[in-house]
Amino acid sequence: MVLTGADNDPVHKVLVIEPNRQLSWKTTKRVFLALALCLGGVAWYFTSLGAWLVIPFTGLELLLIGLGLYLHCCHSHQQQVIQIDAESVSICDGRLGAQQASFPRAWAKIIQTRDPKGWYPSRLFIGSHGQFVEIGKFLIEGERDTLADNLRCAIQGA
Amino acid sequence: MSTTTLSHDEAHHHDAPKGWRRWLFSTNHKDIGTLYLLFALTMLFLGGASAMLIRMELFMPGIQLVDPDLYNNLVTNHALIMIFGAVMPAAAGLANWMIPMMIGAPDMALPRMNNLSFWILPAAATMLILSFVVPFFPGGGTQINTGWTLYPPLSVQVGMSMDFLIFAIHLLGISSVLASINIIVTLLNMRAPGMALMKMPMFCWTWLVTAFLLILVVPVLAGGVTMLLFDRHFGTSFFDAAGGGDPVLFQHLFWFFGHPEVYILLLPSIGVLSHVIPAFSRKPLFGYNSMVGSMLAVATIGMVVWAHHQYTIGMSMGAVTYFMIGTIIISIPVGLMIFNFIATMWRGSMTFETPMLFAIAIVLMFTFGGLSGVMLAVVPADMQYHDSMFVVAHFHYVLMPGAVFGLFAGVFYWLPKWTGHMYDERLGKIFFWTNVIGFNITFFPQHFLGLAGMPRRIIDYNVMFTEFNVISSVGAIIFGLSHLLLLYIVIKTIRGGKKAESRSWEGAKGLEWELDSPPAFHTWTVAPQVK
Repeated sequence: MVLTGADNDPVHKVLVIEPNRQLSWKTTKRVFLALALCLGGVAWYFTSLGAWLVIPFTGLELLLIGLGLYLHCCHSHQQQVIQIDAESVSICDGRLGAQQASFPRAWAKIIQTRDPKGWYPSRLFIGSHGQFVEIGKFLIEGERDTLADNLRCAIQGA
Repeated sequence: MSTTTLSHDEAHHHDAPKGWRRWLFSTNHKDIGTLYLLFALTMLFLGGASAMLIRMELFMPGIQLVDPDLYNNLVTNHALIMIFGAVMPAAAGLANWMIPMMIGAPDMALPRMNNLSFWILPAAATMLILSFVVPFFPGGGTQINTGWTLYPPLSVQVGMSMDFLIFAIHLLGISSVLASINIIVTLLNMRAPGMALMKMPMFCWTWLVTAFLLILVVPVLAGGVTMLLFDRHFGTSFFDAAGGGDPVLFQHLFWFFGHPEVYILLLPSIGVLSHVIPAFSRKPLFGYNSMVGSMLAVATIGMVVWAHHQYTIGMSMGAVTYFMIGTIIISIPVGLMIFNFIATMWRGSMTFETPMLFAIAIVLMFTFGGLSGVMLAVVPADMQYHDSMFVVAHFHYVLMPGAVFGLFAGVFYWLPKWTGHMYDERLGKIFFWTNVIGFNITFFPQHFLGLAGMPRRIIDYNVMFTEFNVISSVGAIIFGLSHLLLLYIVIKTIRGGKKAESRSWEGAKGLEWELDSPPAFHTWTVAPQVK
């Protein structure tokens, strides 16, 4: 999902890139907590009957659920911010706020590589002078294609 | 600053991978869905073959084809193969194919885990088959003559085949849990923008509830069978009364899993019905919110009524009354679902293609199975019916229409979408009628057999039960053979036929019908906007 800011300004553009997601961190934690409570209740009940071997399996399962939710949430909460001004194109990590790279706008190139066999998603890079940084890794294919077109227009449109 | 130096590769291919690697390493939800469905079909025939042997043995009184232990092993394997090998993987196959397409997601949330959860299944199936085969070899021990419930002390005493079975159950459990985690994460996080939970297709809702149920009950079964393994090999006495243990504890552990398992098998088919009936009635589903509510109620109450399978073990009057009332209460939300399906059909412009025929058969026959379930829920009556052929008839009337017919309806409903070809409607209807008639001839007489006192899981029977057993076995032959027609229809549809349109059925609604038939290898590469 690409959100564009400062559309009216032909020189300065801001593109916020993030994947589609429906769960916030808060809701994710609530879902996990609810599952942990239910599973904990089940494990406690059967342990009280003497079936304590239910506990390791419950714990292992809870760990897997937590891992699945965490990994997917990490993936879906990624964000990149691309700022284009008259002189440069800079790419920042939207969550951490740290700048990943900055390139002179006049030299900046957009390159999209594709797996020859088509087995893997394409990769989109921005850079210049042989140094490139990957953008939109977390987007789906169609969104990445659109982003590549939009970026080319935005960079060349000065 | 993290930058990289590129080598340019501007090839543009979006073909599906070719060869065996496509299937072994696949992370594509459609390919994995296909694998699940093919696996389930294979296991359906394997489980069906054991059922045929059982019915052939019961054709006449006396011991004809197999010895009593092998007979009971066939009964055990038939149940385990059908439940874990056929119905659950088939439902998972439908989920893999349809959920991402229905919610506008490009794939499942955790595709590599998806691959793993499928490929554990063939290993588990091998273990399951080995558990059947091992006793035929020297030193292989005795057959698993416990039935699928694996009750100790018998299950502690049988040979090494039980160890293979315990391992198989662990693998099947791992596969189910991984698939459930994937489905939960996908449904909660990857819905298209604008698709709130209460706008989610009903099939997705049913799978969300099913996945939560699996998550809650599988660790209990895993713990139970591990304790069994410990009793067998490590000198513990969890289920040995002589060592201070309690064999009834295993029954509680097993049925805490076993009863919700019934809903795990049923709910995905209820989800299929929620799409098929509106499509062929050309009306929206009646009472979406109440369907969701009923499903949640069924799942919640279903979790806490497991001991109605154990009325005869000698529980306290209070416990028995609680489990009886709880079980009967489940019929209220289930009745509401059936009412919603009937209300959806009411004054609809109905047509009767194969999926709709199966849907109507489900409404009729599942209701019948539910009614005999209410009979069994009543303690004094259950004391009479317990462990009789009446119970066999009851759960086949619940699980065949409730789960398997629902899966057939789903397969016929979505086959044009998957293959890009319309199936042969005439053959589809022939399959429906032979299947449903065969099913009823097989299982309806078993009610009478049970009421007259014929016990289940016994190879021989009194001559007075012969007539109904002959009818039942003839029905089983028709029923079993009808599935060869299903195989033929599926192969024929894959190989060719009338081109299917994107919206293969006039009344079909939902995002999946916006995609081509067959859909591209990668779909929803741009997330749709749901209003």
